[in-house]
Amino acid sequence: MLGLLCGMILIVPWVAASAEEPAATSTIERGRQIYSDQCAGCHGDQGQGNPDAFGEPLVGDWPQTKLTRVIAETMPEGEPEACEGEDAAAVAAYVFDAFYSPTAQMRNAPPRYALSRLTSEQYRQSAADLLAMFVGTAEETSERGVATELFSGKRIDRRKREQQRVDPAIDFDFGSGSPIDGQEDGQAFAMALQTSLVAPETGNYQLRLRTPNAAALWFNRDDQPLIDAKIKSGDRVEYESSVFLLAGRSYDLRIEFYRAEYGSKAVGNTGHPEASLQLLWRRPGRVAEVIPSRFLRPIRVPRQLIVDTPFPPDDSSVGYARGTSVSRAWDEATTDAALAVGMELVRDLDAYAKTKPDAEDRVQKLQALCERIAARALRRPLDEAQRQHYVGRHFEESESPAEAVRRSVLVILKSPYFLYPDLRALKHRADLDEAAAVDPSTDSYAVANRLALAMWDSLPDDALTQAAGEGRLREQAVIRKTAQRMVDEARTRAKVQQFLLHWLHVDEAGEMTKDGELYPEFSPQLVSDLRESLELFLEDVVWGEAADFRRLLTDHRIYLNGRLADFYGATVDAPDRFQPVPLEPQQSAGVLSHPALMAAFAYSRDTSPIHRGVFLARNVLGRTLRPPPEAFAPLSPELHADLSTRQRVALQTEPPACATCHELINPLGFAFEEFDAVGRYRREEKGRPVDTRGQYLTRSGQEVSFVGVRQLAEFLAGSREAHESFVGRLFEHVTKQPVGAYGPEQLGELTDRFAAADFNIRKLLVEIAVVYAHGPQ
Amino acid sequence: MQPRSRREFVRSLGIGAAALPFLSNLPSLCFAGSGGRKQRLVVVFSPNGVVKKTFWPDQTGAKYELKESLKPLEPFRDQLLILNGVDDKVKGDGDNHMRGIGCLLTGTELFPGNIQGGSHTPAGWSSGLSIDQEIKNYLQARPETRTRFGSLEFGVAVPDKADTWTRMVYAGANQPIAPIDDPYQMFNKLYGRMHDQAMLSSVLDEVREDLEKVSRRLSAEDRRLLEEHATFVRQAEQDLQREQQQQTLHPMPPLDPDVEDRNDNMPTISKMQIDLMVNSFQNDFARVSTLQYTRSVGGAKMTWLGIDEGHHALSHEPNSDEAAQQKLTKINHWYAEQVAYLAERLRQTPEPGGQGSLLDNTTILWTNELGEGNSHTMNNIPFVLLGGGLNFAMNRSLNLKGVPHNRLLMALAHGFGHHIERFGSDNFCSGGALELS
Repeated sequence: MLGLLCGMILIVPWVAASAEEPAATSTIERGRQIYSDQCAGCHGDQGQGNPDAFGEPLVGDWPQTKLTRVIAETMPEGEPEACEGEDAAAVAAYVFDAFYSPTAQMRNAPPRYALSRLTSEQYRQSAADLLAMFVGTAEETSERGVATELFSGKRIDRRKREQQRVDPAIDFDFGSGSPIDGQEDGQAFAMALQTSLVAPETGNYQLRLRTPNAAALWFNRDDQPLIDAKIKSGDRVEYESSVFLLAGRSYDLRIEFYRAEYGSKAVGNTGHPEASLQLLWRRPGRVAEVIPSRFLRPIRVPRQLIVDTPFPPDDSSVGYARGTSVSRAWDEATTDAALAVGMELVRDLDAYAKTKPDAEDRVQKLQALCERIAARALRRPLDEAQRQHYVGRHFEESESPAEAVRRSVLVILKSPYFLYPDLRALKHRADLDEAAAVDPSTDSYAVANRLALAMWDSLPDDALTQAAGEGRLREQAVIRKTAQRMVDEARTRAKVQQFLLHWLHVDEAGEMTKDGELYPEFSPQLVSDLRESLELFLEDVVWGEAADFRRLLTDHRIYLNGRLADFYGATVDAPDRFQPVPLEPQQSAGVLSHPALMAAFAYSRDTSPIHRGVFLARNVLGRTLRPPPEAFAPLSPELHADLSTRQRVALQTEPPACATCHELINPLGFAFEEFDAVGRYRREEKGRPVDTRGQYLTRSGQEVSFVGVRQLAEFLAGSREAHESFVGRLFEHVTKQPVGAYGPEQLGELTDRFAAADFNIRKLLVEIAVVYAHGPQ
Repeated sequence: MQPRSRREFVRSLGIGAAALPFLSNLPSLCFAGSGGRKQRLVVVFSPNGVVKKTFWPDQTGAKYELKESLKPLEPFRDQLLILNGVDDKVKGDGDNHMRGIGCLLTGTELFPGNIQGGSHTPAGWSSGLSIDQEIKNYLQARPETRTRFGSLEFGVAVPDKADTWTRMVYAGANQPIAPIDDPYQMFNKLYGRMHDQAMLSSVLDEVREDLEKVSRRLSAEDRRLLEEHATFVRQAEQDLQREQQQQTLHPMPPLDPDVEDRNDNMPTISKMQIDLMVNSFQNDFARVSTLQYTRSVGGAKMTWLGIDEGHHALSHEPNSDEAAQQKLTKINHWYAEQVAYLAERLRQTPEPGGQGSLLDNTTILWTNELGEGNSHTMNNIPFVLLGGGLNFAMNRSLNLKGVPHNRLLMALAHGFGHHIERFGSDNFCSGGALELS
């Protein structure tokens, strides 16, 4: 991290002379002839592949120049001299134009809007919002931390409240003293803590209460404590419990703490000589830590419905979770979840329905409750037949109103109109469907529904439903304004954060271990810190003022705490918290050189330019790479002790079968060679200076060269390919549909708007939601 | 808690008309032939000691006379084993009521803690697991004795509080298991899933029709997914129908839907819980069960016996207070009636797929946290055994003259073929399991 690179090299992407020009018709015709004679046997007459020879379809995103070269050098297989020079160029021109290029692919098989069910995340979020209708949702607040009340005496007695304050976290160590001014050591006191916990991601969290004193913790519900540590027994000071939380939602959390012994009759007995209280959590895939302030709000929030029914994983084969397939296990999960929602509702039925057990109009109120649930879940008002089908009938047929509610909820949540959220967007057979009379593109309910799916993965809230009911969501300007209102919300933030982590490949909480001899301090704790550092940086960029995508790639600051600073050779003012630390710009480039990524794309002792290059090519530049024809083990560094990592990789990928892809991959990865297997900056490897020169051939055939990560980052930040790739990925993550289904020009247009808005990610999100809200073409 | 809505909630679980008649003589096909004889253990707990002179028989051996407190067990004489002279010798933290219940089935000390009783040092939870859980773990580890729940913890009128006085069963050190004293909650635990399935099968055909109706309106390309979905719903329907045909062999018991959790309803709730327990044995849901009346120090007011004072307060009265002694005798007589009702229900019920009655394969152990209420002694803890589950030699009254109760706990495990050499605190294990067969 130290030192200065002598002499800045200005980045001047070197542009090759051969910009692409459309091939003449005669050339294409000649190419077609040759293809038909020499290539079609293996590749199929339309490049669709031949299962007996070369099964893969002939599609990709190399520029035509490279295609020409590959054909000239390697094709036909075993007899490359049969097609060279102008012949190769003609074949390349034909192949490129007819089926190979992305444009041709789009023309031949335009991506279509795919009927989708709710993903498991969308199911859970929607179910939670159904009950939120009746209890309200958490208010937004900029305050962070815990509301603390201090009481003198043994109990929480409002008359003895001495102090009120907001603490940053639940991390108290009072020793033998007292937090109450004027109270002497060893005197009894009690504490009531109120906060709400915002879950950054969906999953299982472990809560861990640590105290030698008596305490109890209520979570999300007031009836039973989640952790009851009022009774002390033996040396036990830690109490754990697991909870399943949904991304972006706030959960009420309340703690009572007693310095004195619980249930004690003995006078003057103040319990354990020391008083302390900590609340830790273990996020999915992370180590336990005191819950940081940024996830705590010092307010009370309404209860959330938690559907923790296990769902089978959604199909993510195309890079984003989507609901385009169903299975028996999924159908059963939807049944179990629907039963669980009904059970939860029935548990506090009168409270939800705002009625009383002996009220005369109770049944009507319960029926009205079900009708509201049905209208919200099915995403538009019910007609009379639906009212009867989803609600009325069950009240006539069940033996008790509670039973009716459970049946009604079951039928509603198993309905295709709930499970397939945008069913009405599909082309209907007009002769059969009364709903076909509604034009989906101007139907306010459909628009409200899609906005809620895009931003929150959930159902419309009250405000959206009302706007839809008034038919206000028709004009683009209104839709855009509505989307803007939805952006700065905890759920949207969580969704964007999950996208970014997925994009950067760090969402799979795999174990990252390094050679213990070489990197003894690279502990699970440090890995967890790296995740935190990355997340803080992402939030800083996306939710900071400019929200500039380019900063993700080029910023030279990194969030460090004391442990990370020590490990990576920097200094911080306050070691116990994370803070942004500026690094030498030549040695740092946003997420690209972030040690969380550098260490992830590396082996346990050595770097991996191939992993780093593949990540850049696929995730940042959006290039299509085929998997290697067979699995390779990396060449052993021990057996090639005299070679640098770069030389070793070059040696292994030299054969032509490898080189076609690796001449794209390797030079991208080589630019990172100044970052070792744990992401520490280095100048030398094995006593020799590392070589960070690299180059890249764009899809349009431009040659770009760079030295080191800074020049690479500057190139990427200005690269149309990188911009389009980011826009496309975000679109798919947000909408769960391919962007091509919204027109062949859509990606380009969205990217133009992205550029015009100075690459503001939040504005891009709004534009994506607006496109999605109008429905597929 | 809103009693009415709670009851309605329970009613919605199908306890009303949907409940099937109590069919007790059908063999359980699911478990028939799944191994040897099914052995069971039920531990019944009642609090505050006994009145010695009206509880313990004067004679030992086979020729003994049952006194007033134990009179209700007369019909089961030939399957009765009364153990006098078994002491709970566990010392350590906690007053005798706390240790009395907390060490009763665990045979080991309580941890030091912050629960302060009326005397002695404060204490926390038990430092070890209880014998019923030890046996349950043993049975659950073997496929031939494994059951859906392994053990079921019933309660009657247990205060809604988690402390050392209210917990008898421990899954391990510091892991008390709360008894379920709400029959509706227990019913839901045992049969909720079956009821859900019944409800489900009544709506699944509509769900499928809904899907099919919608999919007919779609273009052929989009229809595929919904049609696939409808097939899965159809499969679920068929599976449910098959399961339900089998389930008629495991009837849900009828349950009065309107019983509130009040002191005066204790007799009704006691009966409901016993009925549920017997039914759960028929369905082979568990081989081990506990039934805890109130808690140690329990203060039930048995108004239905004409007793208006709380049980615990009465138990503190000196032996010279004849009125109190009579009332306490009546209370223990009532508890004996509950044990007798359980025994009677077990005796009436043939062993599904096996020989004899449930009682022939079940041992009931009725016990208490104290030997006597006013002296708070933990010597001569009442241990009354009933039934043929563990192959003990019955129809006897014994005085074992001060053996530690750990040896009895071990004998229970041995009865299941689980030959442990020590249980609970090592100090009280010498001599090994009591020889009772």
